[in-house]
Amino acid sequence: MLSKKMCLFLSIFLFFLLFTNVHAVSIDYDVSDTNITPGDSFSIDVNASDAAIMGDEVIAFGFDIQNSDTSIATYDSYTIGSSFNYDDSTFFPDNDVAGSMGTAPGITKNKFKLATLNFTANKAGSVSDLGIVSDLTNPNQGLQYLMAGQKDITSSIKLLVNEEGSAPIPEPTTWLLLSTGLVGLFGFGRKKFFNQNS
Amino acid sequence: MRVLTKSSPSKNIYKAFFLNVPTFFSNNTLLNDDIKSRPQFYGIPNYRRGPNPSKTIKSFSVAENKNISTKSLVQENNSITYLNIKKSNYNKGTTIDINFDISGNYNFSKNSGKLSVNGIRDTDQYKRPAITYSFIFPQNSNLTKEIVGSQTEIREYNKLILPDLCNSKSCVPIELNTEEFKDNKRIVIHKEGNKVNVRIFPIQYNTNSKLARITKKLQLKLKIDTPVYISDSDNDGLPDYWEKEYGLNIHDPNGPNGPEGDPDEDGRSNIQEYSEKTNPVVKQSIENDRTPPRAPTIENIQTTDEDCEIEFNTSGDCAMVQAFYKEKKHLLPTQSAKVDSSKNIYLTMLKPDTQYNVVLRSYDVAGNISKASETVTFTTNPEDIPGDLNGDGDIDADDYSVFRSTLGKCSGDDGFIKEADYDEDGCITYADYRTWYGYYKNQ
Repeated sequence: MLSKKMCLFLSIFLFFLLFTNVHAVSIDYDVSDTNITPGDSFSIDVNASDAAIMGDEVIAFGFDIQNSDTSIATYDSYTIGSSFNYDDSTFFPDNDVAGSMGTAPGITKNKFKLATLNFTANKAGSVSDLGIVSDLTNPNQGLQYLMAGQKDITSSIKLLVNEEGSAPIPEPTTWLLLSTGLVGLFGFGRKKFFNQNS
Repeated sequence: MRVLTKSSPSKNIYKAFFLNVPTFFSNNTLLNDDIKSRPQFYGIPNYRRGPNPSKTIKSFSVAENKNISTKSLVQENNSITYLNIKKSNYNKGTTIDINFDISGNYNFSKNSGKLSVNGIRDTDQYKRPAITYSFIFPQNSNLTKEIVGSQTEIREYNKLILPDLCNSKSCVPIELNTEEFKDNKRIVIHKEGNKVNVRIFPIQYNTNSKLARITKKLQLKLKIDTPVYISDSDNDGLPDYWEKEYGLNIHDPNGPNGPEGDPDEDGRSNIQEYSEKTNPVVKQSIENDRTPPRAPTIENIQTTDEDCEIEFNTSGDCAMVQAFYKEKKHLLPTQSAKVDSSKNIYLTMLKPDTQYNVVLRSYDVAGNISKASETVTFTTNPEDIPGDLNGDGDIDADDYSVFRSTLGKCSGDDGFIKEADYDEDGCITYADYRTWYGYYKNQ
């Protein structure tokens, strides 16, 4: 009896989990160069992930580009992702980048590229907020689902431009890997040394 | 009139509640039968998920100087024509109150969206007619209007919502009874010659919530102020200029000079003679009138796929004009219009892309009928397919080319195509693209 109740509860929970309208699209950024130095041109792929909604399809998108420090990196141009057939950016003066499917079937995949953004690094430093903004009061912005309407895709990353000629500063996880390796090597050497002595 | 069904190609989540017309006009025996048979939508429901048919506009009434009107004529096309503003009140100011109460709780299904505010149209995008109220307006008078009720609120659960009015760039909150609301043609007051038309449009509202509540009544007050020169010195309801014209004493409200007087002894009082524009001092009995009025002339015909508006002209003592029309050999129900209120007759529920013949006849107050006017043939427009922007009868890539040519344009821009502005916000946006794509996909 108890197990039946549990099953019922789980079913209801799963039903709400699957069919409620709450859905958040994630945006991933794929930076072309891991060591950006002043003078470099680099690109960032803007990818939508967790985008699939059961029974729905994405037919367009639109966003503005956010760059909190243009003295460090300057936005140059964009290319619409190959999943979209039309570049509509010029139709909307209030959108930096916009694309749509035209008459083609909408996108039902979980992950796809919205656009590639091209930048030039001007000087060393970090840009705290580099990304895209979608204002949902603007009907041309956000990820446009046929049934669910607009979804917010506002997001950003921190971008680092290194000094010219300097190696990239290892991040904390890199330090961890390096020190673990050194400890391992040290340990392996000690074992070998003691084995030889014995 | 197209009736919305679940098979409609629209993918828009559209909320409207049914207005049961017979309930709405339950006390009016003059309601045309074909109107009674039509389901109408007004206000706020979810048509796709199935509105609750028991939800109706709670009340709608028209009052002149606080007296509920009993002398109204309901015409075709769901309009009320109010014909009898007392001329005795012209120099005192006349107030007409139009009350409509749409308060209540409404159940919505979950779907996101925004309040949609339409522009001036006879119907909204689903061809739901506006409530139309018309009345005769004295010449050279002033009309002031006021929407009362501190605020018409839409509430979701206990949260007050100020709906947003959006264009392509931004949204601004609006209160439903503010100037913005009026300016956006939810209630339209249009003066046309001596006729004033008031149109009250369906409210469209989309919400994330499952429950919304509209509180408070919305009341429209119209005040007519007439110029000083239409004076009535003895305050007997007969204007001075009229009494002077026929030699009556403008300072004597009694006897043959008063409203109940009958100086020509034709059985009709001065006030009747005045309201019927006849001579109070020369006997002119309706019973003796055997002369038919002249036939009306058809001036212009405008058609849609289902409706036809005939503009006509009359002369002589014509009081009413009736339209007789037929499709091939099938004679259809006549439609009529009072001549002093309108020079138009509306034929509704016609078949698309069909040829009709129509003639008009005049009637005078004695019941004499004129000869038929010249027969005029008209053809209704082909059926309107939403999404078929090039009018070739289907929705395909060519229609997308048309849509793309107007994408991003706003009303007033070169290349703006009104038919592609499905949400009627004045700009062609991705919201319109979603609607078009839905039509394309589901055709």
